[in-house]
Amino acid sequence: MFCPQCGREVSADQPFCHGCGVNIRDASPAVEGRTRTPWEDRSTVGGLRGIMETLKGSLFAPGNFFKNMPVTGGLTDPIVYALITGMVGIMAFYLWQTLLHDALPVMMPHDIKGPAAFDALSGIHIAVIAFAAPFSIILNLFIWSGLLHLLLLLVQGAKNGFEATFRVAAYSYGANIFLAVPFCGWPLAIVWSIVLVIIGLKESHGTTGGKSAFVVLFPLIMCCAAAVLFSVLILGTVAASLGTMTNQPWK
Amino acid sequence: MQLTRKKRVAGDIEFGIIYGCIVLLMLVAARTLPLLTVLPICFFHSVTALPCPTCGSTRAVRELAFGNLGSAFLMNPLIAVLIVVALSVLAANVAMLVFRIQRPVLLFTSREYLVIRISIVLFVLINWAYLIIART
Repeated sequence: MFCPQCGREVSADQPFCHGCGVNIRDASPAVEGRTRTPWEDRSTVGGLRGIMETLKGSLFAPGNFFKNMPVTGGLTDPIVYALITGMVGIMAFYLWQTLLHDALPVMMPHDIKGPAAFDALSGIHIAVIAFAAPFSIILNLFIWSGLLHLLLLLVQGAKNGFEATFRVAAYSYGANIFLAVPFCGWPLAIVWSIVLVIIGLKESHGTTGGKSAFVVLFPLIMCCAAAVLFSVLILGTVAASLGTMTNQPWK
Repeated sequence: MQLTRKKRVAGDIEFGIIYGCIVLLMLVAARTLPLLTVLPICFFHSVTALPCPTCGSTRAVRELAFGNLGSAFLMNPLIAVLIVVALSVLAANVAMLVFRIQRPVLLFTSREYLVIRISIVLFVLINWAYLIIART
C-alpha cells in the first residue's frame, strides 16, 4: 500500500509514513482520483483559459472544485494564481477609488471622510501598493494557511497535509477578483473568500462543515486575524511613513 | 513518541525556513517601521474591554526586535516564546539545509497527539488568563 499523503510505499502494519510522518490510519483516502486544476494544466488548455476556468470553478462551483483539487503538487502554481487574481482585484479596486475620488466622499458618512484615506489612494501610494502588494499577498497566504492548518490539527480536521490547506487558501484568493466591482465589490470579496475557504477545507480535508467553519471563523472572531493582517499593516505602514496618513488632520 | 530521520528529496518545501523568514521580516518591520502608530485597535478589546489572546503581540514583537526579551515576555508570553522558537527552527533548518543533514521527524501516537492538542489549548488559555489579569 501507499501513503495517501506523499505516495511512498508503506507496509500495512506501519502506523506512520516514514516519508512524511502522516498517521496512515487517520489520513484521508480521498487523495486519489483528484485531477489538476485548469490553472495547473495550463500547458494544455492555455494560460488565459486555465485561469478563467479555475476562477469559474472555484467561485461558482466551489464544492466540486475543491473536491477534485489535488492536495499535493507544489506551492508555486497556487501562489502565482493568488498573485494574479489578487493583483488584478487590488489594482482594479484602487483604480475605481482614484476615478471616483470626488464622488466617494459625498456618499460616505461624515466620520470617515477625510484626506487620509484618499491621499493614500493616489500618486506615489498606488505605486507603493503595486510594488508591495505581491509580497503582502504571499505573506498573507502563508500566515493565514498556517493559522488555519494549526486550528485544523487542533480539532482533528486535518486529514491531509499542510499543502492541502495552503492550496485552499490560495485558490480562495480568486474571490479578490470581486474587488474590481465598484462600491459593493470589497464586502463581496471578503464574504465570498471566507465561504470558499470553509468549503475548500471541508472538501480537501474530508472533514465536517462545522469543523471547517469553526477553523475559519474562530480566528476572525477572536482577533487572531491581527496576525493575518500583519503583512497588510506593514504595507499600510510603508504608505504611512511616506507622509500623509499620519500627519494631515481629518476634515 | 519516535524520532526518525527523513531523507531530503528534491522539491521538498522548507516550511521551517519560510515561516522563520516571515517572523524575521516581522522583527525587521517592527524595528524599522512605525507600526504602533498606525495599527488599529483590537476589535475584541473594543467590544468586551478584555484583551484577546493575541493582544500585546505587536508590542512583544517590537520589544523582541530591540532585544528586550523580558519585556516581550511580559507583553504576551506565548507570542514571545513562539517567536524565539520560530527563530531557533529557522537557524536549525538553515544549518540542516547547508550541511545536507537529514530532517528529524517526530512521530506521535494518537494518544500523544491528543495530549499535544490539549496542551496547546491549555497554553493559550493560561496565556489569555495572564493577559486578562495583567491588564485589569
